[in-house]
Amino acid sequence: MTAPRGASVAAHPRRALERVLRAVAVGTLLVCLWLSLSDATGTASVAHALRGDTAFWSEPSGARVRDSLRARLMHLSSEETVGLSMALPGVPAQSARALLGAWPAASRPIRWHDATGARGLALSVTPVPGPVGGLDVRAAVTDTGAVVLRDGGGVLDSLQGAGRVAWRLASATGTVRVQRGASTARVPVPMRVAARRVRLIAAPGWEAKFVTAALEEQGWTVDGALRITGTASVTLGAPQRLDTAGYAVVVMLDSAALDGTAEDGAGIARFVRQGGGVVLAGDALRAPTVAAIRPARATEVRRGIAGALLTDRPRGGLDAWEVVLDPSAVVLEQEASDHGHTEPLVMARRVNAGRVVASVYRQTWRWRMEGSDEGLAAHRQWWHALVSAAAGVSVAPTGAVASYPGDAAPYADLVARIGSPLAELRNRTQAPGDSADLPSRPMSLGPSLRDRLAGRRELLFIIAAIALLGEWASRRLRGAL
Amino acid sequence: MSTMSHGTAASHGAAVCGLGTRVEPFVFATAQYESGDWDSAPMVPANVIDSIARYTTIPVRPQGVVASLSSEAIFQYPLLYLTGHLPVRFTTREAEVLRTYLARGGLLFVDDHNHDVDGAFHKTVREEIRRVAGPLVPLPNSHELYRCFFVFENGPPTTSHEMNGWGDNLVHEQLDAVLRDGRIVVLYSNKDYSSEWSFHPDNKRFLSVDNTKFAVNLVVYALTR
Amino acid sequence: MNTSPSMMSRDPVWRTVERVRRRLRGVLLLRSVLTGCACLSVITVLLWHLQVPGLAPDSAGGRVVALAGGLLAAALVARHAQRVFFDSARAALWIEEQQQPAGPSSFALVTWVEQQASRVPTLRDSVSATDTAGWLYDRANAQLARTDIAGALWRSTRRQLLGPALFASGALALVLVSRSHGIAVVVSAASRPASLVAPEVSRLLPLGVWDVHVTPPSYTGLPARTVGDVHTVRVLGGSVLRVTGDGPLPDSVSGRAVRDDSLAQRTRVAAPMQTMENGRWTLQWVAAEVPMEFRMTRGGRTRLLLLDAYADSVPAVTLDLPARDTVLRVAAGRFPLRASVRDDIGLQSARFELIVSSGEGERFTARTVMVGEQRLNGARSATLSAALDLTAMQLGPGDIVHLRAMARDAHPQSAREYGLSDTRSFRIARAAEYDSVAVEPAPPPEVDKSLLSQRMVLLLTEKLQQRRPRMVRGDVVTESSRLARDQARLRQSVGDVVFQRLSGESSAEHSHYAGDGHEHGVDLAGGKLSLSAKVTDGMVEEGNDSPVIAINQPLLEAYNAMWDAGRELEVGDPAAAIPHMKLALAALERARAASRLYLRGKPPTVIVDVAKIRMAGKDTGVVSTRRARDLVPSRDAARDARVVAAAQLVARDAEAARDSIAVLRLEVVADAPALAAALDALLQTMARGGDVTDGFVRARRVLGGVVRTEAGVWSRAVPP
Repeated sequence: MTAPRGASVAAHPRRALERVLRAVAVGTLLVCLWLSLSDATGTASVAHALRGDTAFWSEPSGARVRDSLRARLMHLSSEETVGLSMALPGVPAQSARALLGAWPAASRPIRWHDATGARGLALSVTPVPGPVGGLDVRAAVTDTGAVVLRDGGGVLDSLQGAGRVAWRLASATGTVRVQRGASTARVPVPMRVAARRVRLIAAPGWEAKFVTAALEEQGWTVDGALRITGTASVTLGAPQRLDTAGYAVVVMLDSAALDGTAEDGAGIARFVRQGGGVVLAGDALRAPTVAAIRPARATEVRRGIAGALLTDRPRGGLDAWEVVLDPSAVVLEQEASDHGHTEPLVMARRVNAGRVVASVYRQTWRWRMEGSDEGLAAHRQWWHALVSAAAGVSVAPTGAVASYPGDAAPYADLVARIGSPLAELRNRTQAPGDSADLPSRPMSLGPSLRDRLAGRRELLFIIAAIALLGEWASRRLRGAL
Repeated sequence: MSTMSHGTAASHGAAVCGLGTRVEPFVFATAQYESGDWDSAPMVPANVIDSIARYTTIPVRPQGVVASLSSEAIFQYPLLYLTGHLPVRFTTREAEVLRTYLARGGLLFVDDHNHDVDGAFHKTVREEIRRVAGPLVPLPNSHELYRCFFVFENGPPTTSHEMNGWGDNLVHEQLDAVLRDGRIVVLYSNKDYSSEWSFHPDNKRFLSVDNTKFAVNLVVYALTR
Repeated sequence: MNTSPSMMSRDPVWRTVERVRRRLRGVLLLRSVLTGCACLSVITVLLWHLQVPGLAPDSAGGRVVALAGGLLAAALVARHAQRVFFDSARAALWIEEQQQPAGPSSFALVTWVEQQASRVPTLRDSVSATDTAGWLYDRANAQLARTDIAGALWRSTRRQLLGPALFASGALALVLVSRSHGIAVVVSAASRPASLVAPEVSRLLPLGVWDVHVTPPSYTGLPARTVGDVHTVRVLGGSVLRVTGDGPLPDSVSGRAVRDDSLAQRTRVAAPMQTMENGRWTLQWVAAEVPMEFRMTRGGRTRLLLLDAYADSVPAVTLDLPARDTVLRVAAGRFPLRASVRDDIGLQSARFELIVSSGEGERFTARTVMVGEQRLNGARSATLSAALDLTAMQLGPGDIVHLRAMARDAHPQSAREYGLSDTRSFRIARAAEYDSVAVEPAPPPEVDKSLLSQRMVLLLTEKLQQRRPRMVRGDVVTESSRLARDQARLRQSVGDVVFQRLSGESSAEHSHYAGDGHEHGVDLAGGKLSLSAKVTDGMVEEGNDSPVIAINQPLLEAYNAMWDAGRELEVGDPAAAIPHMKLALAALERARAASRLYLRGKPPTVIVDVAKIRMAGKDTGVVSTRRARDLVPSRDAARDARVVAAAQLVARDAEAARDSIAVLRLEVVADAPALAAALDALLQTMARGGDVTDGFVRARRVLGGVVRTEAGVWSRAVPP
């Protein structure tokens, strides 16, 4: 039995509820109608939402993303301004990023919400030149936090870092990964490069003997000639014409007279400009022939601290030059001195394509002979580090395609391909003068509410259905028709 | 030609020995050990230094030094000369220091001043060397030591002492050495070079053939290999 | 014959029937419970044995499945029982069936019970039912009295419950046993002897459980020990190792030394002795003194045994007295000698060794004396005492005594090294020790390089003499003249020594001879020399313009004897030359033995004027080539690669990973103790079954493969 029409709504709260539900259902259907009509008008707006969980986006082959995009494209063959919107729960895999990057490259709008939780992280892995190998790993992080370094064999290190962090690895297998929070940067371990030779320019003496020994024991091939008299000399290896094809580094230990036929100051300078490396050690910093390329000028000798060779800072026991740095020189290693300023120990400088590395120490052989038991290996490794700091590496960074960093900096790669996420773009205007080979920015935006509603059509249907069903059930249970 | 090379060599010598670059000179060191008479050949250092100066441009300190085997002072001199007549027994400390010295790249030259294979020095010092560095093996006469500066076709030059039948009355055709990876770490001589080189260097002018040239080979080998 | 329900309940017949009904129902329920338990146990055991992934008996899924199966079985049985026995009429029928002896069944009880049970309240007052009920009741009562209900119930209970109870208890027992012992062992427990390892391991081991038995060498006196089933065993070199296990002999046994140093390369790996007895195999080795690894393979699976073998070390000897070296004025007195000796296993003997050297200048002799020998019979440490009596040793001035203590342990190898102490020396001071003469020594005389020594010439002559009967005369003369030339050269050199001058040209170019106008002090007469009358004792002559070194008489004699010998050889008569040569040799020996004027003292300090003589030498050197040094292989890189490989193997095959880590640990324990400790910790974690990530990270860190550097502007870092 239905109640009379004239009864007030307040007396029948149930009926009021039914009316509310009916209104909700009708309203939802109207919204759906409006959405579908407004999509069909063809204004530049985002049409499709691409949704998926982390597994969807981070699948390495990108097959699911590709299939999903293809499915949407099938339905919209005639539409001109099909855009794409998504909320990314994690940084997509490289193939997925490449697929998405095709969208703006084809001048289609694309916008995305950043729910990745990832921030800037970049990784670079460079092989250390030399016969022994090794890797120089550098990572840049934008904020402080735990940074974990991994390779194919497991976790290598974890530290709290900000800005730049760097490691020297003796070896690594598989892929080197750095993880910071939700972001992971990956670079495959690069192949070892064949080491070129080292040319030694020195007078015969203990320093020449032990530096050659240290380098050869690390696997370098050392060429040179030690002049004993005007006509007699001891030849090391098989010295040839100094050029960058055969030689990686020239090591000068003192200003022994340079033979005019084999090489001289001009020859060394030419070698450096073409990409070779020079290590100037100790007394070679005073040589006038290399004055043009050296990173520092030596002034006077600072005596080593007696007994320091046996401590944990053995190089303090070696005699060293005090130097005046060239303006373009970079200090690789320095130590605090008693006078309040820092004393540079190892300096480097770029000269055209080459590098000149200088060390202030004289007679480093004393570190090997008079130092502690670790001195032998430490001396060897230090000289290897000096020579490999000067040697060139002709290996391109791996994992990068064109100007995109790829997996080495995944977030940056994503932004480079499809642009910044929505929250950032709302805060700033489009920057003029973007470079031509970067994809164009997404096109004009619509109201975010419509985007959200468009992505939630199923939700609207459910709301409408529940409202209608609820109203119907309530009426039936009441006994009304 | 010889004057020109002389002049060039002199300028080399000046450039190398001058104050501008302060190249470190070679120092000849005699080993002092506790048992026996380590100082039985005090003229040998001067003679060797003289030869180095005469034939090469290697900067050399005019006077030799004495380094005690039981102190770490020997590490400053990667070439060491040891001789004597009496039995040699290294103390534990000396053996340890010597072992470290040889492992780091030093070279020890031992000469039997007795020139006697039956003598106490020969037997004891060979045992000590075996304990410290390893067994002594004969050095082949084609080794680069005999060709690294002057060329000695027949191996180590004979000394008058062994020719005259002093000592064990034998002419030793080879020297012995402890080799590590083909490099000499201990060179042992039975040929009594200590006696051969024990004269004032000024008297060299009386010899038609300079018998100290082998010392130059030894020093060049030590400095370059 | 009251038929109201309350009176019905007081009726004895009814009560009995109800009692029986309840009892039967209870029995059947119990039976269903037991069946359910049995089914649950069977399912649990099956899950355990089949190892279905996800349905392990301990996991929730497994438990649910087992419980469900049990409940299902119980429900089925109960349902069947309910259908059959939950009715009073059926209980009455059952009572009837138990009637003993079997007579004609009257079915009175059943009928009565059915009537009573089926009464609906509306038919309760029916007269015919009452009549019949009275007669029926009596017949039912009588029937009941005839039946032995208790016995029947007992029999029925036993019959119904025994089977399921046995089944259930057996199944439960199976579950309990298989949880703690493993199915394989349960199957073959009877045939296997007791072993020291948990049987769970035996399911996984390739060669099964083995027993390791170690017998140290007999000279040590250490007891033999049984170690059980181990993976690594620490043994003394020379011990006999016996490994026993079940089953057939291993197909192959291979061994190698774990380390790669020279000692390991010299060690030969002996093949083990293999025997079979009572179905158990035995392998027996003698352990070497270097760590070794043995791989035994059977049926395609391999197991590793690592021998951490160490060598018996040499005794450590310390010389306590005398504490310092001494110089004595007089060779008299007694000195106490004391030394302490220690060994890791047992000492055999110890003594003091003295070398007495006497002599001076260039002539020294030495003799060795042993003092204070003591047998020590296997003691681990001892003190050696003796006294050194200098008077009894008859030492003279200038003698030196070198003293040290030496000890030997009981190792049977005859060429075994002695443990040695430091050496102390005593020196007897010479009277004229501190006198000093400054002398500029002369260079040694020049000798022709192709010179043979006199002894050699003598030997060659004797050989020629021996061959002479078989040779032609012409050949003899030729050989003989060759020897004569050698003899002449020798004579020349001796003559040079006699006539040596200190100034002027060297003697090789300008030899002196008698009658050359100089006063030498020797006369040449008939080819032979003799001391001139003017100079009687051959001292240095001053004032002459040709001073000559002092000659000693034996050299002159040698010269003359050589002259005679040369003459005989020239005529081809070696036999006659031999006695002259012997004379010459004897004279040379005497010349050697005579005290030479080899003046030694504190020589002048010679400082070479380097600048003045620089490049003054006439000879020049040659260009030589230096051979390059070899690469010192970085063991750390290879070890790092092995650790990484083991880390990647852990997921697939934990046993193999553990083996490779154990071998690596044995290799590095000598030279990298930090790494060995890290690998030890890793092995313990693996044995416990814990998380090994940290262990691997630590091991790689210790290897130094990961070094933090400064990330500066320069693209290459220089590690600190």
